[in-house]
Amino acid sequence: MNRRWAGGLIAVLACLAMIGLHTWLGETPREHTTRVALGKPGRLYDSTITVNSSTIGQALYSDNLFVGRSGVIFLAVNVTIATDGTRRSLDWTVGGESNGRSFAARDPITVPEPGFRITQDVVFEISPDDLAGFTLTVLDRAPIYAYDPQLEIDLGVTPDAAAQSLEKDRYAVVRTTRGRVEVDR
Amino acid sequence: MNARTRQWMVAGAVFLAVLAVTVGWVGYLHARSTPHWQQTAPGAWADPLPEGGMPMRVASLTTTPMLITDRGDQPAPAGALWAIAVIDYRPPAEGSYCALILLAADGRRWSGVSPLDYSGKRALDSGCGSPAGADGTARGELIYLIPEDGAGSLAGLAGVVSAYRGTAPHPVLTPAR
Repeated sequence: MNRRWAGGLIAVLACLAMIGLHTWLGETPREHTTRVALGKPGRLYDSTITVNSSTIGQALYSDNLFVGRSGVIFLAVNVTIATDGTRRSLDWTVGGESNGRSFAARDPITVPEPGFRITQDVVFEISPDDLAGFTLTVLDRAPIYAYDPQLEIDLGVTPDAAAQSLEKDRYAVVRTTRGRVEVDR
Repeated sequence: MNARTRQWMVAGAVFLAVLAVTVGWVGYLHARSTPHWQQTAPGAWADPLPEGGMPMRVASLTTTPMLITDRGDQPAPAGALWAIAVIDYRPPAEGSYCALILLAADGRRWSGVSPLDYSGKRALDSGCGSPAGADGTARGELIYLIPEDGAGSLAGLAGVVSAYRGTAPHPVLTPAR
């Protein structure tokens, strides 16, 4: 192959490499996912979130007001969010995953202003079969996003623990709070 | 210069060119996504809102543990303070609206508290919805809840900066007192 053809071949290969890279980047997730243990703080852009506990039941009260009764179960996940950075994040997505299914939280989460924290409940309505292995997911999007932080927090509910919990609390009352902000000391 | 040396030099030049473009692009993106604040003179008029068209000034910025309304005193949570900014503005004829953030010198920024977050009514209207007086200006107030450790480093009020911002500086309204 003479020198002129070799140069053309390199240019074509470079173009193919760029197309391949673009395609690969378009297909890959744009989040940087971190698994966080129950009770441990997970880091997002300007905040941390800690999952404290979870409860289940059939009737839901929010700050002592009756919300509703579920044909399946309510799962309330108690979390503490502290904003220790310089600004409050505005674009959080909170959800849940279990058995390959995704769940949306009933209400948007409150993210406090800088220097404050809030402890509140995130409520899901799920099938009893999805209690075991339920994982809370929190994604913090930046305005121009690339590899935004996403946390996966396994509630640590084993099949045995789920069976026991359902036997004990399936028809219980779940009392949740939307929380009040307090200074993060 | 032999052929091998020339090939290495060409490869090096290409690498440096790619590196320069990458560094320049990343630097430009960083500059666009990092707001550049420009402090005004104390009490000076400026146009801080992204859409423009409404000059404003901060007449005063005070902090207090107790918010006084016609329904009594509203205490801030333990360790927190209310920051009350009194603003003068020249509303355009078509009406006005403002959402300003409170900036601290360390970069922290707080959004305003809604009047629904406290009980009662205050002497000044909240926000910038009042009609102009005879001199073309109106007065309102914006209230913030801040931690006590932020009270000593408040820089002033600035417009909410959109995500895809330019590289131009954004005015920070410095309180007159």
